[in-house]
Amino acid sequence: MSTQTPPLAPSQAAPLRVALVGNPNCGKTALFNQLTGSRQKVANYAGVTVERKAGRLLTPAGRKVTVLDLPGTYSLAATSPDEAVTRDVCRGVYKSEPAPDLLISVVAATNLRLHLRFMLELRQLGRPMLVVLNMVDAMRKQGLDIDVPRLQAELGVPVVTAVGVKRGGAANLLAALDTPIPPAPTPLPAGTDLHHEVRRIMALCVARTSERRQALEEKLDRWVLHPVWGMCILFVLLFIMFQAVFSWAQPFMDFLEEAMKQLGDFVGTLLPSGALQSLIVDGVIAGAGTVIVFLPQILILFLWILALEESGYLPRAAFMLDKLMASAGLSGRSFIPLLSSFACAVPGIMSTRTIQNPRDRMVTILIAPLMTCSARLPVYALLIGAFIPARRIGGIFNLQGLVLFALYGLAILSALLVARVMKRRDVEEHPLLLELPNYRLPGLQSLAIELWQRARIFLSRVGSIIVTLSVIMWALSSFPAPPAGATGPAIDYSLAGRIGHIMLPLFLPLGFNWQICVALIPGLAAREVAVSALATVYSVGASEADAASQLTPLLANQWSLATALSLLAWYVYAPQCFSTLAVIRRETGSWRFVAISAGYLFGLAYGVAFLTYHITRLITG
Amino acid sequence: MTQLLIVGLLVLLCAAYWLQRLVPAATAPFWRGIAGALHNTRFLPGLRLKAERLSSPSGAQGCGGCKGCDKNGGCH
Repeated sequence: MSTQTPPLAPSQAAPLRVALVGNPNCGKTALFNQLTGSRQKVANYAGVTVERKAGRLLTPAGRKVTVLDLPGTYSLAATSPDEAVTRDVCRGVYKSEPAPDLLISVVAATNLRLHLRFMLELRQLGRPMLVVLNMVDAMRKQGLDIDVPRLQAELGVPVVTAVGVKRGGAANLLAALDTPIPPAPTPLPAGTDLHHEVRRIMALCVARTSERRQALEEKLDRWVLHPVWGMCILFVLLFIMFQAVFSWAQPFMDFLEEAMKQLGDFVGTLLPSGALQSLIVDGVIAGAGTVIVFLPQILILFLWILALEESGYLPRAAFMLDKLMASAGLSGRSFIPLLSSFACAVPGIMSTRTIQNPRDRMVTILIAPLMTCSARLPVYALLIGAFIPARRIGGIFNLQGLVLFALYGLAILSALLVARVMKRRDVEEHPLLLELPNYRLPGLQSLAIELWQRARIFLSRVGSIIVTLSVIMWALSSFPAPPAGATGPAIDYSLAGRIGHIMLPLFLPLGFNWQICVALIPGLAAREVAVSALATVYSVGASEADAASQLTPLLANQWSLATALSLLAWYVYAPQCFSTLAVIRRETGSWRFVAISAGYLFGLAYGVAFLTYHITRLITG
Repeated sequence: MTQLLIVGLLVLLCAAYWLQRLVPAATAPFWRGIAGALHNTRFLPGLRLKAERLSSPSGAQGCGGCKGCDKNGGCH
């Protein structure tokens, strides 16, 4: 197959504004990343991009280009907030922003029948446009061939080929951007049947060169989408994921724990005894070091999520869970935003823009914080490590992994129950229309890059949020010094001690001590900070210098099982971090929803932690 | 004494960092001052640009101070 670059005149000097437009999951963001060097999130399912993104590039001939990456849509008749962005940008009515100079219609060569229809709809706008035939490598593997010159002639606009996920895969597009803007195509006569036009063009331009490879995918789908086996596969995948989080990560965590201990000892001997040494050892290393230890677990969790995202399995899981979601009054369309919330509630809440029904969208926004975000993992891991023995059940299952799985399950169940309560007066079922992408073997390189990005983001959080909060926590725990003749521990006289004791009456019914109360405050900035805050408070208050590196056994000795389980229950529902509250405000445009969200989660957290504490005490005596 | 001074400075810096994240409007006058001072100079162009951006509360807003969302491969 040949690639046709439009025969246009030499490049212009003026900056060019182009917009990548197309159906969901056609590879717009992969192309955007290729063109601009950006690292926007890409995945193998529809609805990853929900906002207009802008990037700049310089073409090989030196032309400046501003590229807009728009959310995918099936038509210009928008039915959800993300689709409205695309519609408005294409029509040139988006928030006082001029219309793009050139619409780049991205179509997946593997799904031409669906994508060409939207391309023809775009063409009716009468704006200059260029078609990018993306995923031509996958198309060849499917045994298809497209006559590009013929397609170009039939569409009346330049067509270039691309492979968005391969390095250099956008070279033809870059070359096309160096040429002058093509003239706007003449719209088709009013009343033209676009579906009929697509079939006509496909009959002329698309040929099958070999037998369908789809057979394997269809066989897989027969299992994966089976009402019984499909659910079993989903359950087993999730189960193994949580087992892996504990089993695979342990050696790496032991190594990091030992490294942090060595670092603390080394700095302790390097600096003279005093405030600075205490700040570095008890504040920074004890605080941030305790959280860094959980990096392997977080990366293993993300490895699974990323592999599932890339494989094309996630939309199938959404399809499988549609019935379950419907029982809670939601549609399978809420599944992807809720699943994204397992990484962090902020992008999860933003991706609710793909939900058309406004009420469904609001309910999904309100329950998204119940999904266990990765920031809660260090808290869970610390408490499970301290109180749940690392023994095997039936010789196969790791008990700690089972408890983690149960905590995630409890959060999911609670979210569905809350949704059911919120939608008790509106239980009409909305049919789920979902595009199932082709299966794809996750690329090792892209997985490695994504994991590296995750590690960088986590470490930069440790280096900024957690270190700064640990320093503040250390200062609050160290000053003021106890008065002359004081008999109690010095930390009791510190600001942190006083704040903790003021909060204690409210949280004593949950079995929390004053140290936990203090740790809850910085935990509002980011939940994992609660771990570093506990490490700092116990480290400053401890008589031994190395108490920081021994937080797990220290908690196991000082807390009762009832307190630990109560704190775990608290963190299943814990009120959100500030970032989540801010994004709820932004997405709903209302403080009312922020208040509802914070209020009901605080109530749930308090109620369930209270019950957990007292029931455990009854059972354990 | 030196140790206490260094510790005090570090704690102040961390407190300022969180003030900027949580209440950007409170730090806007400070950034306006910096931007004004650097306005007619050629020194520290990066700091000048940052100060100009942060001197208006709207320029400093992110997701509650979470500026990492949807950049570099997602959030957090």
